[in-house]
Amino acid sequence: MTGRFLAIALALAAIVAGWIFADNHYRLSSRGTASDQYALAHSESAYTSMTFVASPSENYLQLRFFANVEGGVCLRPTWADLCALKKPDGSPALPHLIPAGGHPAARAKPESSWPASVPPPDPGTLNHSAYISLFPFGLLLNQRLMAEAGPDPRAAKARILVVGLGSGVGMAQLAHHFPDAAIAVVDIDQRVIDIVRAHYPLIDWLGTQKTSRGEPRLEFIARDARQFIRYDALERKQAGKGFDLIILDAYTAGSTIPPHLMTREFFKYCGDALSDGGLVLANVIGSYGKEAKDGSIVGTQHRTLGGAIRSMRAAGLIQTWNFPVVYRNHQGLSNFTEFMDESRNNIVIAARTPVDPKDNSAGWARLRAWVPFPELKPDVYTGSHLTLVREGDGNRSDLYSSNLPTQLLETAVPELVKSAPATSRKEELSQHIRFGFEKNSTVAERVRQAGAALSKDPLFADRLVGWSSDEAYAGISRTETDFVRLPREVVRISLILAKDGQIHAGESLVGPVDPPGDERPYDRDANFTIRDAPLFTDQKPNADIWNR
Amino acid sequence: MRNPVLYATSIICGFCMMALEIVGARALFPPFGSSVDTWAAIISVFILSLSIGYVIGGRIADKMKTSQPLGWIILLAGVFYCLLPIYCLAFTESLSPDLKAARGGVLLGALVLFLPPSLLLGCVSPILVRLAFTGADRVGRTTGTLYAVGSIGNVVGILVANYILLAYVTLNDNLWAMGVVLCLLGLAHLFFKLEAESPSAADPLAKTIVTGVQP
Repeated sequence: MTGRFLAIALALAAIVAGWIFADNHYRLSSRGTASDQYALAHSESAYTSMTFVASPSENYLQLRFFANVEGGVCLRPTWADLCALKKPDGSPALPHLIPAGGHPAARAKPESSWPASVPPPDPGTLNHSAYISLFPFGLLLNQRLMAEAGPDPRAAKARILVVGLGSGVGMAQLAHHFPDAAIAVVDIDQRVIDIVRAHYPLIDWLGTQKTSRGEPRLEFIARDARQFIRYDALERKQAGKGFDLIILDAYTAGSTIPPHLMTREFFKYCGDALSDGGLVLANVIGSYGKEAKDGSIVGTQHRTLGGAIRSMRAAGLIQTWNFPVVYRNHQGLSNFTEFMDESRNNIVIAARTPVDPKDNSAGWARLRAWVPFPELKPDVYTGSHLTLVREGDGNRSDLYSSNLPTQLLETAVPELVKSAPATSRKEELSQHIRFGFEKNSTVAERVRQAGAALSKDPLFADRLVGWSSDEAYAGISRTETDFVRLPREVVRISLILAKDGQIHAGESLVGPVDPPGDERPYDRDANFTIRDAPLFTDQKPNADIWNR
Repeated sequence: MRNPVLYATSIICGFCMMALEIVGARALFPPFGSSVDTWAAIISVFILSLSIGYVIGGRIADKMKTSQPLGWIILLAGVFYCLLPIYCLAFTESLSPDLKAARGGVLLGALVLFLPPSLLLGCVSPILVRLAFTGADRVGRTTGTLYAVGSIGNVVGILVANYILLAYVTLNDNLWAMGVVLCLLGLAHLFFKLEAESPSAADPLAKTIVTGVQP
């Protein structure tokens, strides 16, 4: 009898415990992330667990797959802010973003945990993720398209295919800069499309708009990208509606590129679906690799990047160029060797037509003249936060608390404004990011206590890490980001870095093109940078261990 | 009543086993990626646990007099299913970044998370064979039918998990709901015990006596 009671008790305990204590699939509090993060929406699909997370103080709305950030858009300027922008003559600055017949609200309500005092987001087009800033390069280097567009690249009647929706920010940014572009986005997961359309009103609205040629300004396709490119995109090309640009930005829930979207055969299908002069633009996380004394390359990250470039070239997209995405100068310009080894976003451009500064000088002139978001003023749309630092002067690795909004703590401790002005740390540091540091002092301690007191505030409840700890801290670091300067700096720095063809041209990186249907032999004494770049084929795809 | 009960048990356990494989794989994607390494790890762990489960289940089957051990085994498996939502993410997040990046790391993750519940369910088949055993002359047919029924449960588990559960139910709720079903099934076996036939039941005379007391 006791056995039966024990069995019932055990079953009940497990059932109740599993129901009550089930873990969240997303974390809203950790060191180095915002304490004012709220989940706007959460959804599960066969592929991933996705959460839209917003932080007002750091000015982002990010879509996360599990814990990985898959692209973010700035909360400010809001869509309404963009609609209200005026030219000097009083006419709307961005007429192509103004909805006729009223400003639509989000189709779905925020999660129940969303604070009532914070209005639901209405994000505009400004990107929070740096690499998105280089998407327009794919159109600016397209010689045929730009010749048709005339003097203003923004007039281009481009057809763009984007693989991987993410938060939707990439498409929003393209729609901002290219009013008459027809953008098709293919994503394998209908749930991602649903959550973005339900909570990002601008993206949903773009889906209902038409270009001057009567094509949708934004078209959502829930399908495997390889299937779509191989059959549907090819069909469109045969109907005279080939894509002028294919943007590859698909990542799995484990933050790796799906192997079947990285092979020579796949890139061949991409090339076949492109219109004349069309380009492929791929976001590839990787590095150039650090060279050891014996000439071998340390690490594996470079094999993803090198493999992508080599496989593109083997597929006939012979003209390739890599634009490393660097948004902090100190990582790039002053210490180039360290930068080579650093894993980061890379924007790889591949085409059949020239993309290099010599043979496509007009294209590069357009890149140099490109100003992202010219309608927006700097110093208005910023994000700012304070973090406790264990030692040193605020280097990222030393952070040990979650971030708190600067403004809030400056209100509590006004002296902080005077004692820790945010300044560029070095002369050469890029202009969009500024640091301040207040050493452990009376002021710092009062700020820390003001931060700790916020644990009683429902807006920060259970989200504070490190602020009330007794652990010794070296001081308080303050980071300010200007999100209008950010894309301009990313473009500027990437162009400074990438112009050197001795380093960033496909040939210099991975060597000669493989013969059709075959693989050139491995040459360990070759003089190109990534000597061990693999050739990814359907028979031997990326094992996707190198992506991480 | 006896055979339908055994078949139902076999189907439910087979379903939960393979549904865990499909659903559980997704729990390994965020820390370890969704490469073939992850699938290799999860498939090998499930086959390994089946193999250990068969050995243990076989030993238990020979010793048992009633289906009580079966009830406990299924109940324990259900407990693991119910508790997985609590420790699954916490465990994978606690692994060091080196381990997450290493190709073998995913094997460790799959072992810790999925070996216990799937091993318990692996014990079920030999016990069911023992309970269904009605004579040496029919042993092939009995085992064959039970295996077939269990495999149908596997197939249904894979397809339903892939097309329905993952698409419409959260990972945690999936695991928890299967846990509840297994707990209830285990309790049912504890409360309505089936007698295991003694080996002498192969004797036609003894068989009639035993069948007389079958529920």
